[in-house]
Amino acid sequence: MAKKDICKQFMTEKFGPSTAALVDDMTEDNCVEECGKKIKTFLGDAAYQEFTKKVQ
Amino acid sequence: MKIKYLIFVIILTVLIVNSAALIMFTNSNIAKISDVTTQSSSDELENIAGSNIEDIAIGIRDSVDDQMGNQYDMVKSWVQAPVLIDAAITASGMSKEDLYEDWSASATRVYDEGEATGDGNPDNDVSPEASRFLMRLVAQTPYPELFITDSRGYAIAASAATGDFDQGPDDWRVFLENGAPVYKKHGPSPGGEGWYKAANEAADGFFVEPVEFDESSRTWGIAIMKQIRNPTTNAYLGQIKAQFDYGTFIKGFVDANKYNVAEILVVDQDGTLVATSAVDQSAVNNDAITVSNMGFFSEVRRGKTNGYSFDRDLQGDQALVGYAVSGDVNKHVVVVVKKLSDVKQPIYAFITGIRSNINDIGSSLIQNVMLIALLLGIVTLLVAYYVSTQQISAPIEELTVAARKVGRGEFDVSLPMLKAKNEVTELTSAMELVLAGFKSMKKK
Repeated sequence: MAKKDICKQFMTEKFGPSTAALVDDMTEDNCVEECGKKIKTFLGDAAYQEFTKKVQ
Repeated sequence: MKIKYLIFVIILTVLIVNSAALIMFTNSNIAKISDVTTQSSSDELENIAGSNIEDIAIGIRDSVDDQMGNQYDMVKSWVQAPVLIDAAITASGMSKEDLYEDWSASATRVYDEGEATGDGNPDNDVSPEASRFLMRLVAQTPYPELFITDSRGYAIAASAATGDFDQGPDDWRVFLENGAPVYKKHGPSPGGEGWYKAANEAADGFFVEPVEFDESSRTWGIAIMKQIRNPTTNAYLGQIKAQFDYGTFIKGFVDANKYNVAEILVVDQDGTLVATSAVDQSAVNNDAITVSNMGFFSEVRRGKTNGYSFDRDLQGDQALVGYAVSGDVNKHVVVVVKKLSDVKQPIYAFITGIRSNINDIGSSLIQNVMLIALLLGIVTLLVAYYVSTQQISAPIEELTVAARKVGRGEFDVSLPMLKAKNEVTELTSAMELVLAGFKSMKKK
């Protein structure tokens, strides 16, 4: 599964469809970093850890 | 004002401005089309009218030339008449004195200022039959005078009394001196009279003199000469001189009513009138009246054989003038004149009709443009209203409701689901992020 798909799925679950739609404009290389910033800022470290595990 | 209404007003304004611009543009171009079409049609119709006038001139010119050719052929056929050939053969064996007696019988001879004149009596001639033959031709054809000479140039048969007996190089005449007739060479010249010499020197034995105006009869005449030859031996026997009534002949071609034109003229190469369709004939052969200063005549001088021009006629009126130069020996020019006002009247009526038609079509076109603009405007407005409502106003209203709930501490809110990605999507995403943050903080 591509990183973008994992990111999109995670963002949908945690935030909603509009935020997940923003992933479409990201690249495979920067989607993890961009999504990680949002997750860490709005949901905290625990959610960020969960996200990093999924995308590894 | 709500965004959807603002968008509605903006689009409506744009549509009104665009429709007005489109109608003005259409109207302006219809006016241009009308102007260009009518001007080009007017020019084209004037050129067609010019060509028609030229065609009339060419038609008359060709007819004149053809019929002059027929006249020449007729004279050529007369010298084949056995009665004339026999007279010439008989005369060739006779002395000058005997032939003079036939021309002017001494018993009835009349002297004019001491010089004998011809008696004009066919019974005295070498061949009364030949003279009567010529008299019959005069009665039946446009030739007022015909006579023949023998090979020496002596007049041997004529339709009427001739002025001179001898047309040849000697120019023999009889004068009354001391009560007795005396033969004298009056004005001898090599080859004889000019016309006589010219016909003798012509390869085909045929000669046509330039047209001449006879002041006494006020008409034009052309002298046509043809050698008489023995049909068996081809020996030269003499000549016929036929005086053709060109004035009456040419008048038959200048019928302005027939062609519905103002005037038809025939002019010579100096611009002098030879014939006119006008009732007043005083302009004919009048040195004070000439067409040489008319515009078309400069084209004739440059060697153009036919054409038309916008000109001024002899009355000084603006006119359309068609002309055609004859190929005959006199190179007469047939000139057809039509007043420009008469030319332009039907063209103006036609153009007015075209303008009216274009204006009618233009009005209809503008109505259609307005109708199409109205329909497109309504469709565009409806689409714009739907899109702005679905994509902008409705999501923003949902977000507003959700934000108010969040403000009251209610985090269980529904956010708009947008298929398109735009600024509203980003705003919704921002709301999702904030909401998720609040939920996360609340859990902690």
